[in-house]
Amino acid sequence: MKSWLLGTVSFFMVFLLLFGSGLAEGQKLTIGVPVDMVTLDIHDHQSMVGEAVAVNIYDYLFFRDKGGELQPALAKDWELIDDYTWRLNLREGVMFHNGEEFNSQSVKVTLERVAHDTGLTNHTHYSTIERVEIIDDYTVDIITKEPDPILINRISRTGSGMLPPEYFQEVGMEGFIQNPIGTGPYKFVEWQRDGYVKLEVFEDYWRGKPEISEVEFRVIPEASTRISELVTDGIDIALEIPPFEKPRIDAREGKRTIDSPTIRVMLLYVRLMEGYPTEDLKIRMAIDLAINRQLIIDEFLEGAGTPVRSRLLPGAFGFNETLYDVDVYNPARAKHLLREAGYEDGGPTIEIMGPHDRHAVDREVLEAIGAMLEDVGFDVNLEILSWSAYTSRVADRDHSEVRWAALANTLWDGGLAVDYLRYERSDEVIGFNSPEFSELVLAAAQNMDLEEREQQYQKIAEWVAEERLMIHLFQLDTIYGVDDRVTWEPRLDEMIWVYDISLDSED
Amino acid sequence: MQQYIARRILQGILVIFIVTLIIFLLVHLGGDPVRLLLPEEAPEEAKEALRIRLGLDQPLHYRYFLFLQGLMQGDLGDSFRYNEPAVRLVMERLPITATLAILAMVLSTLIAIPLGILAAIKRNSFVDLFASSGAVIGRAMPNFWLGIMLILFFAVYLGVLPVSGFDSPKHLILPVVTLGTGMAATVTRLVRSTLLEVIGLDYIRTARAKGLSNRVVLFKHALRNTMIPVITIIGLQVPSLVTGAVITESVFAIPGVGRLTVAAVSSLDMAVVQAAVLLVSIAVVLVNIGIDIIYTIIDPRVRYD
Repeated sequence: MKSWLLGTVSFFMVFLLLFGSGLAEGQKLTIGVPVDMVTLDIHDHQSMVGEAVAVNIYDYLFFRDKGGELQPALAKDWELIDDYTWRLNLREGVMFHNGEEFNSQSVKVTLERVAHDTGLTNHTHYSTIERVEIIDDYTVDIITKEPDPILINRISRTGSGMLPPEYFQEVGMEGFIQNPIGTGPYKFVEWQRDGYVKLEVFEDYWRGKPEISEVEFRVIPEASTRISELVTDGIDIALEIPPFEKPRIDAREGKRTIDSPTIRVMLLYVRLMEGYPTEDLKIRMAIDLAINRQLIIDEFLEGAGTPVRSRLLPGAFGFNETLYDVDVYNPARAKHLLREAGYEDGGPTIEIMGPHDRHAVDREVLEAIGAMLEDVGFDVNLEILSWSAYTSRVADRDHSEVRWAALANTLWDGGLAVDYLRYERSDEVIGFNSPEFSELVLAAAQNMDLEEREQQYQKIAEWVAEERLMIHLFQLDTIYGVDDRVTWEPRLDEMIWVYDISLDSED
Repeated sequence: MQQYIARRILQGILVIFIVTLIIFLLVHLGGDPVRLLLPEEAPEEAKEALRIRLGLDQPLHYRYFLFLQGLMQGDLGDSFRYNEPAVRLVMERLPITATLAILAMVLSTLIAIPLGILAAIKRNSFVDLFASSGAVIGRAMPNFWLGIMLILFFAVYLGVLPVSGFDSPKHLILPVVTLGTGMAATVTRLVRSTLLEVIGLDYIRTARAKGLSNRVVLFKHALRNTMIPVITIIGLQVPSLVTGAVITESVFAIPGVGRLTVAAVSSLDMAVVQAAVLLVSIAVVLVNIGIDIIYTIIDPRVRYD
């Protein structure tokens, strides 16, 4: 009798050991990130990492797919009732992690909070929303203060997660960030500051139960340490791999790198006012034509980039194909232009200011650009600063002809890309004062005829490119280090949406 | 003795006081304090509120008084990044950095003193050569390079230790070694040279002449006198342990004060910088007072001061 029991029990134990480990334990995914989140209040941050975590806890009303196209999420569709009113039809049967139901009240409470509270970091992006009207449990009207063609873009970016109204109003934001609740595929477990964020699966997720049951975002600031953790199986995915480390990871068995385009574009701002050599279009053109973008991409970024002449990338509203993946490099013409501008004997002196530590090879890129400009006859002074010194100088507007920038376009819209050049802002900062341009930009900003608007933005982008109002360099790719067990196609907006990731079991 | 300790404590308080003055001046004379303590995008109401709280329309000495008042209540402002009191953020992490620093100090002392003694006793032998050149190399190696190399060798190549983090005792080994190496190198050389010097002094010759064994001469007489400058230097090394911790914490992804401070400096989160500088200064002063008390045990002359 005893031995029979023992035999059965042992059999089951062996059975469980062999086959049950996948079922019983579930799979865990660990991601190494370079910086910590700043806050769990989704309306009060602009942090990429913070949002990469947040998209797992919350859902947006509309969510972009891998290609950048907006898809229905918590909202099924929208229609424009009039220039100021957008009607959204919401999805039914969606639960929050605490059992609360998602409905119009959630949209009202969430959007009105960020639209009305001027103290929140994200407020400016939602400030065009005046109020939200509840039509019925699953229909809402968003009323804007002025015609806002990009309202849908606004409610589909950083900080657009939907909050549970009852719970939120009960505990306030203070209480909420101790234990955030969303409708997303993962529930919040713990945040140890500067350490990690742990999430666990939400089994009743409306899209279907997620494959991976535990997620940990671990903060590892030093890139080489992140890579060491990856190659010793400490983490499954490592973010922000410096280009020169690509070969080291690719050489490892069981690991690989993924080159993924982002919505960040590196560019040079130029001063257009009197007193600066860059006031002259010929000088600006010479700068533009002197830079061999493809060479920089190949040599310093290990191919992780695409030359561009506009901030608008595929998928953005107003994207202009003729300005994407095109390098106008022409040093002979650049030299010619300098001569035409009156600088036969060399010069003018150009000062370029930029940081060295925003991305891994910023310094090298800036130095290469400086050398290329000197090659065609410019006299270049490079001012390469630490990030904090750099941002401080930028805030003080304390820089000369040219300054570096690397900007994302989180609204995916042509308007944001040229916002810098509008009226008063630009006149003061870079000396651009063209009433026609400003008129066109203003008209496009509030044009509710979306087809016409798209054409306007394409025209604007061409204008910017031809006049070299800004000198665009390239779209940046980011490099991920990934374990071969991971199947994943990274997103353009750099959100780490774990729902899309699958992990082969370790057999 | 008690007078001595009391005096040291008073001196310590004076030092802290000067530190607060420096911190205050850093923020209030280094540009618009509101600009430093809040980000550019902060709403006007928040900026106004802070202006009132800091008393920015008042004369400088009154503002310093307000600053000290806040300090007494443990309030050095809020981190604008985390929206939490800066003091709390620093205190959360101080134990972690303290653990690292204390372990590093213990480890390096345990290695350096015996090694230095051996090197001195067996001068110009292989042991001496090993210890002396090792000390030079240890001093010359940059912290972060050593840390990364240790990770590559022990964690990646050999796979016997974890790469980063702070979860278990095993995780402490590489960071502590990284942090302690520089100090161990300095102390080894110091012990060696001081001991050599002491051994050449008259009273040692007298002790030998009295017929005392080498071991007694060494441990009872020579070492005690050697320890005086050595303890001083160990105390002076504490601040460099703190700065070393900054780098070590970044390399090994340890959530300590060092990393917090660096991030705060990068993002100009002055409230946190203030709190970190102040609290670390207090810790260093306390350690130095402790060292001075140890002095009185080693050097009887000090007691009657």
